[in-house]
Amino acid sequence: MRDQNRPAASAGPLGGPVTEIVGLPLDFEGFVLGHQAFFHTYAELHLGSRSTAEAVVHEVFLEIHAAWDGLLQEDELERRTLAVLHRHVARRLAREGRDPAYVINGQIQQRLRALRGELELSDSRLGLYAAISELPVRQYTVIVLRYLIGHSTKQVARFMSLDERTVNYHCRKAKDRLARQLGVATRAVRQKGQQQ
Amino acid sequence: MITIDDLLEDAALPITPDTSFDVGAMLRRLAADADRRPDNGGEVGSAAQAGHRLSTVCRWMINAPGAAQHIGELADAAPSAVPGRAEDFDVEGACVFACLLLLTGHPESAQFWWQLSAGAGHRIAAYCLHLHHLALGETREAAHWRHEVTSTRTGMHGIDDVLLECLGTVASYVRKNGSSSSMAPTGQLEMEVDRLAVEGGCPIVRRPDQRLVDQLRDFTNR
Repeated sequence: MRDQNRPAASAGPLGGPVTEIVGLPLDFEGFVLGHQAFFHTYAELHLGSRSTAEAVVHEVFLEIHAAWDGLLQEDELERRTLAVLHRHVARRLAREGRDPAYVINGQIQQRLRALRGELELSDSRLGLYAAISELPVRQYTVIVLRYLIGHSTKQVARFMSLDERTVNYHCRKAKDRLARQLGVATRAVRQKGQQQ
Repeated sequence: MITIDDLLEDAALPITPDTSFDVGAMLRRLAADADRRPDNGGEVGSAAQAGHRLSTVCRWMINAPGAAQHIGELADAAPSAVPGRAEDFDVEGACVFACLLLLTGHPESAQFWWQLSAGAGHRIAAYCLHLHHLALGETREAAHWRHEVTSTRTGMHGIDDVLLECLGTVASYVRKNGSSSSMAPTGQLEMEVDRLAVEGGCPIVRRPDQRLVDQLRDFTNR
């Protein structure tokens, strides 16, 4: 057994010894490790910089930690923690009086690709990101995770603690809404002899 | 004609995950800040929390599909009442049985069966022992079992995929099945465990028998 006066040591990611953290509940640590990459990506998408994302995600995890026992007892841990993330990100944007970073960055991205001849610019393309930002929360989350970040339906289902059928449902509703708003078709109409 | 799918397929924004991010440092910052917050319950708080969490994990375990089957395998195996270390026994069954013992008021027996299971490498059993000792304020033992949960045979980092899988399995089980107290063992089940405890004549509750297995099966099928 270990000497009582020395903190327990275990190898850290770079191989050197680090003191073991006894302060955080183990399952909370598991949660943090399983979600930190996703949370950071989500935050950076909205806030525009990795360092800002890290600061905000730190606060998000602190709030989740403070409510951890209650969260574990209730259902829908994923949905509730995602709501905390979203709230902190939205609050930061509101405080700084700006739109989500992906609106501007998305448009820049589209323009660059158009310059490279990869796609054709249009009002609907440029208006897509702003339209996404106005979706109701479930549809918004599905679209952001699925199309802006690029997770599979399975991964989205996991992060939102829904089954894939429900994810697809929200996705369809979101697409219908976006299509209406942007004036584009919801699905391709194939006619004989016509090129898609 | 352009469709919404066309627009969305081209919409992804490149955010590369930061693979050099020091996750250990992040956890340390969280732990340090969490300590300073006023809503942190302190040591007494965390003992109570650990006890609460242990009951929750135990309820998950006995309600898991296959729980009765695993205990059945434990019951069916070798004839001796308490398995020696060299004997083959159902490791999962031992952990489930331990959880049942805890919930029915036999914590020392629970500890014994968890130790058997954890000794054979069952991480949830090790996690239960960690929580069990935390709840009792036995911090050195708690730290030992915490280390057992996170250590890997290949000697890699601390908390790793195996642990995440373990916690993820538990969390996804809760997600699907909720965590209401209707998952607590029924009086009938408690009586069967007490019967085993009395009949054994030994402080440690002995190996479950077919009667208990049938009761658990009824319990999980209700």
